[in-house]
Amino acid sequence: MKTSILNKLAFRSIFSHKQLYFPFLLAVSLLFSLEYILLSLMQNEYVLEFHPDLKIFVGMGIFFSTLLMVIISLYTSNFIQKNQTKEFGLYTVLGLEKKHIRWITFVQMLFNWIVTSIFSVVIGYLTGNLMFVGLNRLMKDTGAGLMDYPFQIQTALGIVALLLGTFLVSFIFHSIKISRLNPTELFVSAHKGQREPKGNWLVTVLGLATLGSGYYIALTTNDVLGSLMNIFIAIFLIVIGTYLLFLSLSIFILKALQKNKRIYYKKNNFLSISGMLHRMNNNAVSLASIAILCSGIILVLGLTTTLYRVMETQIASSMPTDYTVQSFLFDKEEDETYLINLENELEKRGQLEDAYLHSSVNTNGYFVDRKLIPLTTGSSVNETLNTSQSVVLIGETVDTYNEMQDETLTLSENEVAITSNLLDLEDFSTIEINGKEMQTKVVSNEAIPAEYGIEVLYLAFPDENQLEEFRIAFENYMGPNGDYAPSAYQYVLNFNIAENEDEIQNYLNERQEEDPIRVTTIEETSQNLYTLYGGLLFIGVIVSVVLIVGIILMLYFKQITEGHQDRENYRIMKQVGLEKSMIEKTIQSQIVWVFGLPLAVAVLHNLFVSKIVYTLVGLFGVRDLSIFGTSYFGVLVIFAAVYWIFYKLTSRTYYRIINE
Amino acid sequence: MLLDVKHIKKVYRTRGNETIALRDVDFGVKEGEFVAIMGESGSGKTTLLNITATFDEPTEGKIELNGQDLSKIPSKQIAQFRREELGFVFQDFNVLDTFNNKDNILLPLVLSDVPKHEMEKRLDEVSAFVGIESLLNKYPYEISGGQRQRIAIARALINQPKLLLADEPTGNLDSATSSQILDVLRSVNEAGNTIMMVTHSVKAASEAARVLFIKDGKIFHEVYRGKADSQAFQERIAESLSVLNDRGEK
Repeated sequence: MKTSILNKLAFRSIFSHKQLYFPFLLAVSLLFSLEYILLSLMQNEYVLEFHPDLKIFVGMGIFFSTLLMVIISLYTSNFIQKNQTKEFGLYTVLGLEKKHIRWITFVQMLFNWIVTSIFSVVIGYLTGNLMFVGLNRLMKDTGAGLMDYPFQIQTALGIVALLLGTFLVSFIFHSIKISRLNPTELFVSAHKGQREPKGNWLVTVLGLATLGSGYYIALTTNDVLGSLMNIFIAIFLIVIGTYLLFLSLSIFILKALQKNKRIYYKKNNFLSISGMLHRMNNNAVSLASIAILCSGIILVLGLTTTLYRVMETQIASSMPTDYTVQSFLFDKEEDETYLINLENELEKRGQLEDAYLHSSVNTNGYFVDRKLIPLTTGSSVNETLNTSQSVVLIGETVDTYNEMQDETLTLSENEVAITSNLLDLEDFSTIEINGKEMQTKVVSNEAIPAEYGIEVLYLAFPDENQLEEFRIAFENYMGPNGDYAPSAYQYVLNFNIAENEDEIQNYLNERQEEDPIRVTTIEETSQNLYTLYGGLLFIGVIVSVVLIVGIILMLYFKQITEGHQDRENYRIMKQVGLEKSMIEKTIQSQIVWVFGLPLAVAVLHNLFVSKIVYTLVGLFGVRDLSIFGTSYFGVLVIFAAVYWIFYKLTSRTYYRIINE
Repeated sequence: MLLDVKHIKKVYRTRGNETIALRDVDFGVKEGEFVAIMGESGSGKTTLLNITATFDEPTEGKIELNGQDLSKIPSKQIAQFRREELGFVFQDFNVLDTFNNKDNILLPLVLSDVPKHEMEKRLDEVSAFVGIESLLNKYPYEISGGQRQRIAIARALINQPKLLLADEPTGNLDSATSSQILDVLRSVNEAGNTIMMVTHSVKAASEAARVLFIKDGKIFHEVYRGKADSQAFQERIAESLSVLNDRGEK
């Protein structure tokens, strides 16, 4: 047989199923154009340079998104092919051999591959560009952004290869199916409904085991840096477990509902339970995919929101006032005099508010087993100590602490107030400072400026003498020639400006040119933070958008395909007396499954991984549990509302199709 | 009269083209009667059935069932009316693969909120009557065409409808199975049910007590079975059909 005829048949078949085929090609193209955007992040300069772990996280996100996209594509292409088998049955009756049919499907596969490859790359590049331009503009004031979005040939090739892999797998599945069936079976297989699926206990047990161990790993992993692999494994197991449980458990539940005559023979339940049970295998894959997409969206949006809010609070907390001036004369008296004079000069030019001059000691030391050890004596106490294990120490008097934090803390002679950004101090009632035992009061870590990404221990001493003792004892490394010496006091003037801001600013700029001082404004601090973390927000927003578009596609395609499958059934039921209002009610009872279930699963997943995620975000400076919790809750509520709207819109599509 | 078909006219209009499906059809069906309607494809017999079944509305004229004008039924109650007053048997069975046979039969009752014990009682009665007790827990795709049609008949009867409408009930069946289904229909009629059946099979029509011949949207002729045996009645039907066709070709 001439291949040109076969090729013609292949294309004719595509066009005769265009109602299903074109939405399918469009959906796959859109999914993989999103994949293009995600993949391109891996080559992005910001991602490559910000933090070595960020690249791993982005990579992980991409791995799971890719997994989902391949599963969704295989699921939809299986549905398309099932619709074609009847035609192939007819062809075999007309004298085509199986190898010819296989050729036809092969040509169709090539067609799918080429079309989706072109569209995925083009749409991916264009929308990616649009998103980058848009987001850069949105974040312009904040100084964040990922700069430009060049066309990446590696990414494009990656997409083309991924699509080829997906379609090849689908082609292999399909040709196995074709070679197993004889013509008449081919003929009826499209027409015949799926057999009622049987629940499989083995799959249930396997699903419970994978999900359980995923949860277990997520709950028991404490050390985040050392166990990035664990997070990956945990999420992977949870994803697999979700699919397995949806495939098996849903059937058991539906069968149990069907056995319960009181429930089953109610008119709303009757249609929906039997309908879902009938196509539960397909349904389970799509529902599980939706559930995982929901989980991912809540996770990523929750992280992004947390990060954003933490940044805002960090800006506020890092700077108790709008301006700080630090002088570097390295002499206690000179620094103090200089800043007092400066304050007077500024007052002449305008009006200051909340002006406060204070000093602190910044140095380093070892912190091991509740013992604070100076760098100079560290090796004599413990041989294994080396400078890479040291932490930053910030010492102040309790008066300074109270003034800066707006507190009224009092300390007795042998008490010290401590806090840390990353170290866990919860159960410390005493601490040994250079051999001297002190009672502790653990205070809020807002006392630590936000710009520290490393471990900082903050100490507030009862009086200046003790602060001075601390300063002398904890010598700091002063470079190759100076070696160890006590750190100088850092003198800082904090203030807000009430009047004549311009004049005061000009004067400050002049002084900064000539004197050894550093003026910091709250705007500069926030700019710095946004440059540092803004890219993370950016990535969070992009990944969320990708996942949300994915879920819309999935919902839409699910409702369209099921609408086409159910139309004939509803036609028959209308003939034997099904009211239109009943159809609406039946569709409404889907809500529990298509809307409620994925959302519930997503909440559950996120609860179980919240601990590990919280530890994880600590890496990026997030240490506020209430912000973390409320951000997630807010995201959940808003996402549920948005999902509800999508659900309503797509189920209207379903309703329209079955009433055609 | 149980069913009064009064001067029905049906015109289909598509993009300026007018097709007259029914010109002026006027007849009645008595309670307990078994009426067959014969005619060639395109004669309008299926249109007539669809209008009687409330799937479609007449352009002119009206149909009354037990004195109730079908066109006066509010659209919200039309489904309930179909469920409670009419039973349907179709050429391609129209049983649902998503339900097992038992649930297929129970569908109209479930939709009407009939209590469970009443459902079971009627199911037992009707499945014994149609002879499908052993098939109840299977699915439609697991049984033969004839068996599927029995399921459809059971579903049509379970609501004890006033009128059973059958559209080529043997059209998709082989001759042996057809005879069995016709036997079932006859016993359904003998049990007191009124049947209106559309067919172009002479054998199927000969089960009826009266046969109406429809052509070009009009009733041309009718024959009564009277005391004639099946064989003789079939011959008369065949005769009428050939007369009908001859006239048309002149």
